[in-house]
Amino acid sequence: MPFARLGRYEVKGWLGGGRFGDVYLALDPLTQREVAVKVVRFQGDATPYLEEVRNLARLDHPAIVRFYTVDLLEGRLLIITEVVKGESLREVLNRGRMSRERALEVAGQLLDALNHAHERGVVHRDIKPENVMITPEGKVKVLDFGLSRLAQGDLSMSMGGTPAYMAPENWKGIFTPASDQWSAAVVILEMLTGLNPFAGDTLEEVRNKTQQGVKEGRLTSLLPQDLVQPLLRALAPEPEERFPSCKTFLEELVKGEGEKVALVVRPLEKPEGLPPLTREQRQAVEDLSPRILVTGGPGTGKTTVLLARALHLLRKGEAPESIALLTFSFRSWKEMEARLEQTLGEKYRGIWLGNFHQIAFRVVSRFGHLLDLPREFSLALPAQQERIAQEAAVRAGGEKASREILKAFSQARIWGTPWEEVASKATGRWREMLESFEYHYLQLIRDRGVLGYEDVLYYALRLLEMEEVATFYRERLNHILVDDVQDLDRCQIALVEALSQGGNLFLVGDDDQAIYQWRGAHPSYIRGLKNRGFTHHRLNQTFRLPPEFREMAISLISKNRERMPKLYWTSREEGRARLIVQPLKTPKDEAEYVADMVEILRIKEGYSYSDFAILYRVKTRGRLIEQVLKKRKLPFTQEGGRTFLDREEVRVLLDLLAFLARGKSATIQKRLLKGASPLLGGRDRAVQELERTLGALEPQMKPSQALELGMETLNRLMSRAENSLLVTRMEAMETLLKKAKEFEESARSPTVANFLKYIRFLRDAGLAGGEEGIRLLSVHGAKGLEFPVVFVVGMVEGEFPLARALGVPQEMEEERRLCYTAVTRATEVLFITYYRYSSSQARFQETPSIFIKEMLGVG
Amino acid sequence: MWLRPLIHLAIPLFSCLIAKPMTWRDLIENLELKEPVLLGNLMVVPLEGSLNSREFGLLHLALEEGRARVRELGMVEKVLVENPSLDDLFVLEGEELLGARQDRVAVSSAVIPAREELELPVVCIEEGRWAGDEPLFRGGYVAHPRLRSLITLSIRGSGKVDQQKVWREVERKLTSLKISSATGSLHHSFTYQEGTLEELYGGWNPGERVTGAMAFTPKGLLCCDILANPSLFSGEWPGLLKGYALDALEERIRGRRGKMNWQRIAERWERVGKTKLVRRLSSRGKGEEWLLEGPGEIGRALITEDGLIYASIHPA
Repeated sequence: MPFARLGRYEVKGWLGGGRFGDVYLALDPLTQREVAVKVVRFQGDATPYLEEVRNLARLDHPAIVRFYTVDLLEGRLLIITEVVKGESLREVLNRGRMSRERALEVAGQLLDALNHAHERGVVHRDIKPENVMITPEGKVKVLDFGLSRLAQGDLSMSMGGTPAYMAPENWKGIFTPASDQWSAAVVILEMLTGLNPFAGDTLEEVRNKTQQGVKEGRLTSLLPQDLVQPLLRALAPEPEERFPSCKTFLEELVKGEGEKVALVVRPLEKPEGLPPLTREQRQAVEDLSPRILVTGGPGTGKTTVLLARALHLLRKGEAPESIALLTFSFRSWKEMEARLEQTLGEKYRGIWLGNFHQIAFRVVSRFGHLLDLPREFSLALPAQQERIAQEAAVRAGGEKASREILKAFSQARIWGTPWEEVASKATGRWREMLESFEYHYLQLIRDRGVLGYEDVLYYALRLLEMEEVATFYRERLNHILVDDVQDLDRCQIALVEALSQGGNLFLVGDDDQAIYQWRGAHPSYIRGLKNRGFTHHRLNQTFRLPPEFREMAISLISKNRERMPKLYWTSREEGRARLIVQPLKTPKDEAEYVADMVEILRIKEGYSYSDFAILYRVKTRGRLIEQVLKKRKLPFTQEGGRTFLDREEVRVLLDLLAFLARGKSATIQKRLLKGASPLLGGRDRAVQELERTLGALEPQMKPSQALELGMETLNRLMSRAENSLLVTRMEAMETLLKKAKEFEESARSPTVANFLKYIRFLRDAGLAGGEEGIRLLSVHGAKGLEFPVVFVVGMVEGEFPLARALGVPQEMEEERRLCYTAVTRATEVLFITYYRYSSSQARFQETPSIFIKEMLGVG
Repeated sequence: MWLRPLIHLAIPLFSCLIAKPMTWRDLIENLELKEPVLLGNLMVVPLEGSLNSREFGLLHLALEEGRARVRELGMVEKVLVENPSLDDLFVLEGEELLGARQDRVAVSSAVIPAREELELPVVCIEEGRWAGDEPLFRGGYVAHPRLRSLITLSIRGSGKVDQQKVWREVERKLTSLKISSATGSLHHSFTYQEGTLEELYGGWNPGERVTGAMAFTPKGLLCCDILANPSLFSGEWPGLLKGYALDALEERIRGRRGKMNWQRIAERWERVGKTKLVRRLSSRGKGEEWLLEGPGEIGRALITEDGLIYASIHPA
């Protein structure tokens, strides 16, 4: 069979081409080795070219493509080298800039290779990302040493180079090792920043920029400080002002690194902590489309796909700082953080990870001054924000109109509508009041140095509408990844879309699990994405649901009209799952039954307490279950659990309550202030101010009152340096406050001391026998979790679904989604329980929830 | 009466005309694949053999030498070819006709008998011009395979060429090659890239026995062009090569790498051989035009009383 041949080499493929000619993949029939054959055209006598090539043959360095031999064929030089598998640095940089660590690893090998060549009298002349290959093992290979001169076809002409990487003297035809150093510096700068400062649309423009050089201020704005001076020197206009060699350049560049930069680029570690991806998951993760939507039912691995996507991007060379991973809730955020840390170690820290408030907080912290927001602010408690809004509304319109103003304000915050727009739609006196409200509101938040949660989101959106701010984030963020997109409200959606302008958007969600419409979530957004050019990936394989539960869940949710059709199949085996629908007489009987079944299953079938979850729709049901579990001394944990109680800011607040309960004990005060000091940045004045707050506590205060006072002060004082955690700390403190209020609602004697006992019990209850306890959760709180055994209690009309939803289609659909979310938490055993009579004295029977019939496909 | 000459045609070509549909196997039996030639990222596989020895004048050469004229009729979709010479004149499908009121390409191959004139169906490749006083056209190159394939597909679908699609393809080509043409003419992609096309893809002339070629890039088959005999092929080769080179250059700019090995060639040739006649198209001039389709291929062939004059096969 005839092959395409180049001399004796049998051509297998085309690898690329440049000014010098083409490169082919070929087989050497003598050695049976695959080689790369570069075909270089030349004019006249071949002797000078062969001499040039012999110089190249003297190079022997792991980061320089190995040269094998040279041949002449019909007026063309054939240069035979090793085949380099991998991708060019250009292909890597097309996906975004690199992390500092990776960029310096590549730089180290590049500069070392150049130094080797320069010591042997060879100048590359055309260093650029296209001529640097990165192998699958992470090694650097520099291509085409000296070939740019050969490519001109006339060795008397000392030309070469690619304009945007050419040193000033190159434009005059002078090529020295110092000009290779310049070119390498441009490449390194591009790796670190994604920008070539000399790039231009015309040759003229490039030349002018090169002659002008790069200013220190520009580098300072782009780079970490320790890299500025080395790069500035390597980019000095005069060759003699640059480093004496690429070796000294490298030494200066990595001086700040703790250890010598490895000569071998380490590929990213194989990710731990993530299961192997299925084909459909991998397709979603590796899809290069700029707009991607991934949907899937319960247990299909949506969060795994999101994490895998982040890892995939990092492995492809994306800088962590160019990736934003947004989650809906505080808990999801902490889970993501834990998994990323487990997989990547310290490397994950560059990623923008957080819930929406966290991200919005960063935007406002940095650019808030553009809207005249306070430079330093603390987050206001919801009650505090309400008071400020109330005050502003009264100032604007008087007591009578304030309620209407507040309603409009709340709507605008939920929808993210600019206040000017709200006011512009009003007329006359009403418009004046709205405009005046904004004025007063801004004044109050400036005076008090606070912003509420909703303010942070709202102002972040306003800031992202500004070109300067939008450009800042567009240049930094290449990839926005969002979890639970069905739960986003309009403001959060607007934030995501604003941040993702010009970048890549990767959204994950399930509209069947949209359970926050009551809080302003906008689940129809996810349904509309397909018509907006999003590439849609469906995850059809569920790993959690047994076939029996899958059938039941689909039977239930298919009753909803407003949903994206889904078909999913389960990889679980049939025949092992159990569904028990159990009617009981009263709610108390129901609670006793649940406790009985926990013990029976634990003893007979070996489940541990932590394998059980009891999910309730209404708080009263949860409290009743809690009482029975306490009475039976069964260990349980509620939402928040043990972890949040261990946080520093929560411990400080608990000490504050203890201080109050023990008659302002000096010992406890000392302990409290010591614990608070790190939170306040160790500042004496801040600690003194906290001490004054302790003095203001009054013995008859309710737990929530004391906590609010303490939280207000802590918030204000927490160190600016801690601001990245400010939102986290706020949310943890809010959880404690919420517990206090719940306690006050249900306790007969809601004193501070009793509350502390309650908290102690919560903490201790989770530690019995070294096991975690039964999880007692609201349905909302169970989202995203899974348990072997799940009880869904209180399944009667009026409780689940709620009374307010009955007869209201949209509300019923949300209740159905809640129920779907609840029943899909179980992996082995699912109990659906309901009571016939609301109490032992009731005469009328309750109606079992319609959802039971829908699940079973009856009626 | 028209049937009689056909009976005398080469048996492989027409013996099965009544019995079964014509296949490429009959036609290509005596064609031989020769050692591929590498021209940058373009691989040309010469086909050697001869199907019939009939000689023709070539339109683009006749225009150059003043032996024929192509006249503007004032209608986009046709022009008048005047052949006052003593030779039958061959027009290649995709052949450029430049000047007059706007640049065109021939929609189909045709043979214009000696001393006759013919209204030739054409399609416009210069969206931005409908002006000019010059009534006559001059010759050019041959449109790139992707455009020729688009024309064939268009004819297969509706029997006529979709002008809009042709303009969009021309626009796409100009953009992909980063060429700014004031009138949006395909020909500018040849002229603006002339040096590059010559440097990268020049330097090979077909041998005496070469009557056709298969053109490959790393992406795959561009097209297969077969002419009646080596003389005809060598006359058309410069224009054909320019067309191939235009597609190859686009792929080079996009950096499309890939295999260019014998196995691919052989597999493709096998598939080209399975192409069959599916329909006879209305044609002008001598002979008739056939629409050919295969498992993944589409093409057209011009058959006269002398036999196969020209065939082009593209990936479908």
